[in-house]
Amino acid sequence: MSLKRKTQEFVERREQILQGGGETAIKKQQAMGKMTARERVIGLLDEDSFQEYDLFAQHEGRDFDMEKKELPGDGVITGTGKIYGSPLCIFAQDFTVAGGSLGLMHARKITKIMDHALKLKVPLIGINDSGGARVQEGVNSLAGYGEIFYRNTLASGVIPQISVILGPCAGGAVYSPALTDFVFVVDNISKMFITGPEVIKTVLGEEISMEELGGARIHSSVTGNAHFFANSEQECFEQIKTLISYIPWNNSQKAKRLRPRNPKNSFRIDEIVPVDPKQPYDVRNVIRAIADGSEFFEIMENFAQNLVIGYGRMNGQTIGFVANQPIYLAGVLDVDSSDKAARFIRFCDAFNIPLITLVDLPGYLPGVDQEHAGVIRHGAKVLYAYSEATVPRITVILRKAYGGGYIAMNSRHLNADIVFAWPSAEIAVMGPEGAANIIFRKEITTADDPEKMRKQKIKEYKDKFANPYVAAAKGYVDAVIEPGETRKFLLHALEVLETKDVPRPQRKHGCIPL
Amino acid sequence: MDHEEKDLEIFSFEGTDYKTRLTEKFRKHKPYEPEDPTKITAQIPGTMLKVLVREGQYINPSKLLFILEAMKMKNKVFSSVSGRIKKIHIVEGQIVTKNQLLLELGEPESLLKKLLEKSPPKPPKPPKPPKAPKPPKPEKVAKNKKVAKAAPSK
Repeated sequence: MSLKRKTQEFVERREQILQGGGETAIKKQQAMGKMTARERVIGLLDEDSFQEYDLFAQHEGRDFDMEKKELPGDGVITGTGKIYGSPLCIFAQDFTVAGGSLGLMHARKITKIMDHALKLKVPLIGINDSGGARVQEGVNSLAGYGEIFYRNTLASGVIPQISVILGPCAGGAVYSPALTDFVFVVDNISKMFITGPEVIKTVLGEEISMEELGGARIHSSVTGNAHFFANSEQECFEQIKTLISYIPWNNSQKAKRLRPRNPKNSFRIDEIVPVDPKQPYDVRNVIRAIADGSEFFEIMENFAQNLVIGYGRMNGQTIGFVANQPIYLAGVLDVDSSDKAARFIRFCDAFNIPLITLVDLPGYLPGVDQEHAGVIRHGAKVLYAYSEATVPRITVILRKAYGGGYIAMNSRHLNADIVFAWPSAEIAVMGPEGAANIIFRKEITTADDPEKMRKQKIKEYKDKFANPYVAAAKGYVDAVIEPGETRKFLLHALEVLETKDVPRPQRKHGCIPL
Repeated sequence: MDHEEKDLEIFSFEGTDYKTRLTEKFRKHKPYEPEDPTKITAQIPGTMLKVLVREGQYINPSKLLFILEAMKMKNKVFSSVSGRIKKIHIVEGQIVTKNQLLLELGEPESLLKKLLEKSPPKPPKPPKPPKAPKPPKPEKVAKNKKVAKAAPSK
């Protein structure tokens, strides 16, 4: 056989496999409003940058007549590619081939590309669209999942790992995305749960739709399992690309630096925050007023909205912003927002992204459900995450900073590098109303006019303690700054902190309260 | 500003009223209700296989009440309180959801109180000079928090 013939045969074989599960299955996929795995990989990556691996992989099923079946690529596409010129590894489960079910070879292809990503020290993107374990392959499927989880864990904190849920991802399969850093979901397409509605109905007698149980909206607003919500796959790809632009390839590098830009004039920082701590405002506008180009890429927008996290740039450098959001629940910390903050802080620390924290909160949320949900344990994560972080950590206290919440939000006491405070900052053990009621209880209750006395005492307390100067006098605030100069001070601080180097005692790993 | 006055609510925190929005989760949270020891509810959903007590019967703690099939196991449900059964709310064969009311006791009685009742009655006390009246104590019930225990049988 001539080389030409052989090449021709190869091309034919390849064409066959590139069809995935075939016309009927592709039509079904499209009817569900979904792209095919190959369309997704091509759509997400830079043009012509995809290099496929293991196209000719054959499945290992030998029972239940499986040996007679052809499963192109064994239901998963793997390879390397680029996004905005940054190299990465990718896998995409192909629902048109045996429902994207995971058998031994399918898993081997995934673990191979994961090993590759870890070796090359580049990000890993996994597109999940699978009916679950390939039951015909029995325990081999379970082995496959376990081997993926193991690698997710090894890669954690070394390379960024991104999971994209573009179809069902149920049962054990959910734990791979759960172990990764960012989970993307798309409305009406993503479905994630441990046990589906059918099982729940038979075992528990509870009826619920797939969408209500584990749809994209639920995971991005209720469970906190997803970080990004999109209305279409295309929008989801744009979000992934933006994220990739903000994060580094691995933990020994820094994110790509872009050309510095000034914030837009439309965000006037000294007009955003009302001086009365009882009045709300959108803290994202403060971030926009200080970030390059007024661009802020928010993460977990619809989960625990009382705290805002996301990326922006300062002087072209990626910055992780953490901010209390006074327009939701006055910006309190609670179980969900603590988890949200702590996880983000740890990702930033692992990947050399400096942190800027904007503080405006009355404290930790009181309530039986919070206490019973373990706000002690969850709240501790924020303290832990900040305390262990060695990246530059800068705090700006905008307004109220009361009680345990003040300590938790990257205070000087947790070894923040630089703590700024605006003149409107109120750093105190609690709000004036609460404090006056405790300190002056006797005076108030025994006064002829208790209400008048109460107001007087609140004012006394406010005058004395509701300011940044008591804390500044002790060195807990490094500098009181004019709001209009915030960006200038932050840029300077970031520059100074470039050489920051904090040794930590030798240990295997800390034991963060989980 | 992308918020309007109309969607703001008052959120009270340590004596201060903040104007803010409430998150969906906060809005949905249920106010805490202490457990009612006279009501025995299902801790897991399943099918009621056997009802081993009847209305009007007096039960003690650790009395076997039901056999509830759930999670592929026949679970024995024991009482952890004592009292007289006022009403049984399920029948054998019925599917039971989580937290469904299974059984209601009348006035709950602690073992201690029962024992005290058995001791000889004390002579009536002479009327006391008026003192600061003590607030009436609520009737004590068995302290065990779990109302019904579920344990797998053999």
